[in-house]
Amino acid sequence: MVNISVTVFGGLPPLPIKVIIDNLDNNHDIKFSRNNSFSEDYILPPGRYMIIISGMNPSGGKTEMHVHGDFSEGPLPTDEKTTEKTYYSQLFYGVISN
Amino acid sequence: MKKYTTTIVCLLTYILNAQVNLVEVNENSKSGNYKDILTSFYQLAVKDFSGEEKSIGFNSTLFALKSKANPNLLKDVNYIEATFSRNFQFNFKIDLNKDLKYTGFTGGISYALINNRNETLANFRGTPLEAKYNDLSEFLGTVQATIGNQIALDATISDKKKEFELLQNAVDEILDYKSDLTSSKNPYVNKILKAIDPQIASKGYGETITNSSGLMAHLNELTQAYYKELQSKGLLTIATDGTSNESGKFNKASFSITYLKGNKEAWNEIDLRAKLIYADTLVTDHLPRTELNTKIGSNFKFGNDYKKQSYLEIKAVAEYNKIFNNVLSDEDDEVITANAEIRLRIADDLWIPLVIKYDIEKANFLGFLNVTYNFEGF
Repeated sequence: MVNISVTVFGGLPPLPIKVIIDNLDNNHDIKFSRNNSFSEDYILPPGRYMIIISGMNPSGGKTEMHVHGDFSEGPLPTDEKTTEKTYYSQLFYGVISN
Repeated sequence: MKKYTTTIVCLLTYILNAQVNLVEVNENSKSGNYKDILTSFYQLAVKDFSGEEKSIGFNSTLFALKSKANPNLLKDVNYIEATFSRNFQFNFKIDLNKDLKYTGFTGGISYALINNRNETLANFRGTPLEAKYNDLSEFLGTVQATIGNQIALDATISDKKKEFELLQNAVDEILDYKSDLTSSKNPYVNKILKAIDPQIASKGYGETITNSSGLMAHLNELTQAYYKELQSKGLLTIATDGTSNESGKFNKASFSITYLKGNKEAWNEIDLRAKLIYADTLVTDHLPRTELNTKIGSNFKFGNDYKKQSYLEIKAVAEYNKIFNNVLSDEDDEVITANAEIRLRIADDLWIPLVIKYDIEKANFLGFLNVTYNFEGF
């Protein structure tokens, strides 16, 4: 199971938060967007995954991203990131083994 | 005096020493005129610095204090629910005479009935900004995954974490927008640009948006334009306050209403104010009276780059004062003045407002020197 958690501080995200769970071994990708902070669990089959979280921060605000779960490798380069940039697109690479 | 001073010092100490990392709100595009009416966090103000009756005041919103105690309020889901505390402002000030001796204490509250200027609640869904950002996000996401996959499969890369960091830095660099990305030392920047620039060009956005730099510049322009437009929206506040003299006896109260509305480019705003004042002005006799003060003005901002605060603001004001009862022998019951209120910013959030009044009937000039400091935390 993989938990993806995004928390926005200091206002509302002016644009939806977009998430791509890209299975690098096949085309069974998951794409979704959320209007606000969220914390959701996903049961993913074994494989190599690139999880990309992108969005726009509220004026003067910040966004915290966490990707945790049953990874045998990663997430790389980190499992959590806080950004105050206006636009962000953060990647998390991880491997889920059998 | 001592108990008021102690209270104020305790409150300020609490605020200034709080170790909560308060999220900074981008205040730059707000006019000093707007901040005087509704501050986002805190404001210290010294009024009529050179005059007979001075005051040192402190303004804050209820939300600023609550979020110091509970940072969870800054989460978007809680933030949106806190409309009342974000729009509720309280203030207090110590009144001093020309010798800086304590002459009274004023406490008041104000509430923004209409506040459409809050940038932190901006919503760009459904705009051209969202459509173009979605395109960029899709292009970038695909390239990030492709290059990420190459890194993952490349057996010659021993430090995968470092390589993914490099890739992420390249993405950050592109989204940060610099005019010349081709000179970047990060090899992944050029790799990403080679992949996404043709896709951007094929979208046919226009002659100036043929690559990622052009698209990012355009997105930044759109963002600034939308935020700027927000600053032109209406702001309607009501306020009331009460004042006591040096012995603690209540001797003045007021109720006021203020409305601001800017033009679309936000370099000018109409400023309408009305204030009803009840005051017992004399020390020896009980002489209560009621006054009305109205102002119609227009505030001009200079140096209106969205990312920078204006360095100068000038407000032209027509002011009408009416005393309804107990008019003193040496004063008029009606006074009309033409005012110029000049706000000069000498440092970030440190303003020196100078008010010059011209009594139209008596041909007299009056000047009031103020200092205001807006701050968000330490």
